[in-house]
Amino acid sequence: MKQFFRKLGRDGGALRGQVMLVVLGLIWIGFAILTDGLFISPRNLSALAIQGAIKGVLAVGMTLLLISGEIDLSIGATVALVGIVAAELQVANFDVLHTLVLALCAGMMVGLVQGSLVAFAAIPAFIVTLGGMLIWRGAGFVMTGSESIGPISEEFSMISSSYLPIYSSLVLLGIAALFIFYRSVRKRSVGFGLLWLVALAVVAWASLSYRGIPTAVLIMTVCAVGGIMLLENTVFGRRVYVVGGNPEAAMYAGISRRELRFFLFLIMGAGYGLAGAMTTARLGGAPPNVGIGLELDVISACIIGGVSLFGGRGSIQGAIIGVFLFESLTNGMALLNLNVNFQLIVRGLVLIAAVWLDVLTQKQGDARA
Amino acid sequence: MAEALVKAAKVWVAFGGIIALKGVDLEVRAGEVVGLIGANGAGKSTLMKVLAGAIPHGSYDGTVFRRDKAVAFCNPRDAEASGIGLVPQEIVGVPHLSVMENILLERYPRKLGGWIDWARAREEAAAALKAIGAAIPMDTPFDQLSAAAQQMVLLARLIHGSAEVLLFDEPTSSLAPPEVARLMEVIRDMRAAGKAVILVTHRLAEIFDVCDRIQVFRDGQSVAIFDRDDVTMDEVVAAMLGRELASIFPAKGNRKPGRPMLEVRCAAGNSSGAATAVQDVSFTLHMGEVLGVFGLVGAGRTELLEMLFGIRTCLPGSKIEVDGVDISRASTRDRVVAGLGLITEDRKRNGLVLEMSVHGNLLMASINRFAWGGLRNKPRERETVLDFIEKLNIRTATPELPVRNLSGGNQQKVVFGKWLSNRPKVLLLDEPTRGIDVGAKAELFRILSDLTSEGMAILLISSETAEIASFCDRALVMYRGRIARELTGQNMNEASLLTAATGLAAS
Repeated sequence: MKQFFRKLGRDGGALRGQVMLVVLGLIWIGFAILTDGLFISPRNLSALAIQGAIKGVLAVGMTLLLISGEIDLSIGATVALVGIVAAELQVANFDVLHTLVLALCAGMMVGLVQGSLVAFAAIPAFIVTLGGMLIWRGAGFVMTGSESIGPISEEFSMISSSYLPIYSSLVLLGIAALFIFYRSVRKRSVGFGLLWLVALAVVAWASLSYRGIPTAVLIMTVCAVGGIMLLENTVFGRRVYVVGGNPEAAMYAGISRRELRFFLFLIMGAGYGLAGAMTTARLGGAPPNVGIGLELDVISACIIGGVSLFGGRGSIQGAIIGVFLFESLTNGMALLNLNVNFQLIVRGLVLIAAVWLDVLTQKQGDARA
Repeated sequence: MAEALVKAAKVWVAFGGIIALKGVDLEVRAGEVVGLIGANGAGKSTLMKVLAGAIPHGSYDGTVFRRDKAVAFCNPRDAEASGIGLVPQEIVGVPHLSVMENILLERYPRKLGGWIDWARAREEAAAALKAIGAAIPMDTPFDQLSAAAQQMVLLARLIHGSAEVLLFDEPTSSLAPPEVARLMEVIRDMRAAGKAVILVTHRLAEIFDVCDRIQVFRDGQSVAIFDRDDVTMDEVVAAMLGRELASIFPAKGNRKPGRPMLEVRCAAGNSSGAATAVQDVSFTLHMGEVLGVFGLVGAGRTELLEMLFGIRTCLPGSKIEVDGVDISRASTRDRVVAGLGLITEDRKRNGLVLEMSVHGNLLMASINRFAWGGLRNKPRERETVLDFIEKLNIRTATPELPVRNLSGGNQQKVVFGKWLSNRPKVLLLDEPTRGIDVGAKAELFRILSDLTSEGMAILLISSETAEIASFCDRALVMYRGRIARELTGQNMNEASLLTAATGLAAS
């Protein structure tokens, strides 16, 4: 049994990603049976996808932070705050583009503050973001006087509620298929290609049978692809792994951990911005108490997807799968009319199970005295 | 004559109050292998760190020259850019990244726009591995490699970075003999390729195997430089020893060892098969006796202690008995109850809670003795603490002072006190005088001497030949996890200890 877990932790987590995809499939089948097929109706899957898209955007930034050995506990509060900023801008009749850009800036400013404290004041990220969780949440309540801000323009709410036309969706799915094909040729792995193509086929069926690919999902995909390109193909991205994997090696290689941390929080800040805007668009307004507990869900999702809490390991692909796994659980439980509080218990158990899996797949530490 | 590729002149390094290097000179030429040899703490690794930029410019006095030009390295990357590469004693690789990435860290070939060119990256990594003749699959995660393979990867990284000067700091301490031979071959190849190599090691056999010149270090100074062909091993050993202060150690007097207190028959104490594991150790320690265990880095001494104390398990079939009681399968706590005490090498990490007071630390392991149904008995505690402070001559303003504020020697006395308050039958000591000034050393040995006359059995692990030779009744010399020799009486002198520890003498 131990061998199985060790094997999961090897080869950079690619096997883990595939296993998680299979688990996701099993969960879907399970819920489909339990809900008499309601779960896998294209309409439900669409809703699921839109819900997950926001967490997916956040998971990209969170993955980068986790791999580098940091953590961010303030996500719920920052998304709420940025959402409020976006809503205020909408109420003041700013157009969609300006609202988005300014929301992004607001998010990045929060990221800048937290990043500076972590990188230059050397305060542990855990504490800075824990404090941030309280500060930004409080700021949100102060700004709104504890009321929901709204309404927003219809164009703005389209960010989270619109769909790509069927034709464009088809084109995108085609590109994705080609990409999977290309990657599996590079990796020389048939299993990899097959698995992802099956997943893509399911996505295609779900989206084309309903209204097309949701815009929110497209936004998430763009972020994810950008994040993956950054992590895998730039020197900056590789540094994230080095700093998280062995800080001493980073020192010997001349990598500045401070700079790296700062930029990672800045990137996360952009994530806040986007997610905040998307949340306000989806809710039609900005209640100041949105997103409580969001950080734990995102962290759980990342860890389920193979990002190690201890740093140095993980991938954005895995994190995205983790997000949808998590979202499927929540969605399924809601469909089954499970008591909301029971869902809380499940979410907590999933978090613990995910970290347990993380620990089991760690290689044994060096026993050399 | 080939030019000097790297030179160090009058380098002084001090850490805290301790001077690690006292005005050391060094010179290495192209196509040459220089071996640095000396006892633990003689300063060899420190000098390597200065040359490689791990000790930044500004933290040392003196100058480093690269091809006759003075350089100021702020970090190891500067040194690498200048062509000097270090394979450190503690392997620094990124565990979850592949071999290829560990070779190329920060030096990835790029495509247009800054993206990493992975195709070319593979080629470059493969070329570096080929240059040192290492056949390691490039996609293996670094932490799945053996220690020897990891070293090869680090070396490949230096080659990839066009290092001209290669520094190896104790590279063989975790290698098995065939791997050592392979490494020596690689070093010879590097020499043939015109590189300058510095090999830091304490193993004479290796030095004589592959080096052209031998530089001996002692107490932070470079005391001798020999041409390999002009010197014998005995002369090198003599240079390593020098002269020690004779009067640190109390007279041995007439120690009459009593009945056996500790019997050890241990077979292979580590299942991972690492070369430093304790392989096969058997000995008996008697009441009132001081038994020394000598060995150099990697000999297995600390592992032996860990086995005795239960931190590391012995394979079945082993037996450890304290005063007739079998503790082979007992927990650490039960071993303490059975009468074992351990004073460790790194007192800060293992012995003391620095923020806690002298009082708290002294009674840490024995506070139960004074308790009454779980409640503390403060008057008794205070009495005992004051007693210890007096007996051990611990210099502290009050017993409430945090241990952090005491000098090294006094801290070590507190560690002593901590264990003595339990009245152990067998006291195990691991490098007890490391980092302690001469005066405190003398006091410590006086205390130990008193303890033996009260009947305590002492196992003293030390890497200082003088301590073993002058204070112990018998000495076991460890080499590669085994007891290479047992020395007593006249045969137990510094030279014979060192010779046995470097694996030269026949058992």
